[in-house]
Amino acid sequence: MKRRDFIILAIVLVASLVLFLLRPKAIVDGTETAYLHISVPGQTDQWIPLTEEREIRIEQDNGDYNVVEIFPGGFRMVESNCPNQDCIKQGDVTVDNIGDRVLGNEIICLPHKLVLSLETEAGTAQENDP
Amino acid sequence: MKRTQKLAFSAVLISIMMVLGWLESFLPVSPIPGIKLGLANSVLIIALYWLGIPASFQIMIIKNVLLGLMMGNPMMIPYSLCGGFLSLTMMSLLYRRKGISPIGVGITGGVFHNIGQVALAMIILQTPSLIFYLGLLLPAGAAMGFITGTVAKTLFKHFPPFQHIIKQSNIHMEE
Repeated sequence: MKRRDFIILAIVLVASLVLFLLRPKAIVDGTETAYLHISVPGQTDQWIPLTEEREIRIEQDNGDYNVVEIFPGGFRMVESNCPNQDCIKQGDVTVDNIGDRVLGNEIICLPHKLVLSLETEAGTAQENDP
Repeated sequence: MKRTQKLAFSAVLISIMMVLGWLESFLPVSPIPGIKLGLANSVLIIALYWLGIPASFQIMIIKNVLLGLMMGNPMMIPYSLCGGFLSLTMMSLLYRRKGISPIGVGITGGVFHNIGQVALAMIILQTPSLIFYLGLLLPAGAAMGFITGTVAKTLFKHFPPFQHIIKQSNIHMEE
């Protein structure tokens, strides 16, 4: 390895360390209600309080669908008709495990442009059940 | 290098990349859904030194489109193309500079492959917080780049990328 190789490596490591330290951490304050934010840019934008156990089906105009199971304090993806099924492998998101997950507070289904995220307050869009 | 030789080299490199891309799909865990480490794309570094910049871009585009169709997941083609373009552009800027070995070029390529894909995901999903996943993806990309850079460097000891070959091949491409 030459001198500039080490410079490149140093820049990369410093950048990743900064990003890693700034990442979202676990929600410590248990008094707040946790919400599931369902987002498909241009189509869906809703917040659902995580208080009871039930399944939510998210359907899109082109036939794509996902099924999310919610439970008090968390959620998981249980079904999707996407080709890679990565969203299901991403497991549970709960108020306690955000700091430990690679994807933090999110479950992403990239082919369906769907982002599920755990948030402590509902956003501005209207809350309604699908 | 003759056009025929170049064509044969390109075909061999594309097929190696296709196999690597296929093998990569068996890796049980990908850090970010749909975003891979770029095992296949990093073979591009060899193409860059042997065949020059224009041929490398052609190889990168063909590989990404073919692999996307082969894996039955055309939705992912824009992501791999975005990563490939950014990665190859950065490697092209660096590979002929003094003081940088193929290892440094490989690290740059691996890292920017991930940056390109995450950047596109941030735009399409409108989720800026995705940038934090680069904190884990950058070291992974750098490690992959280090491995491919080392492989390329070792290979170049036996099959050196002569500058005149690169120059000639560039002239061929411009015809």
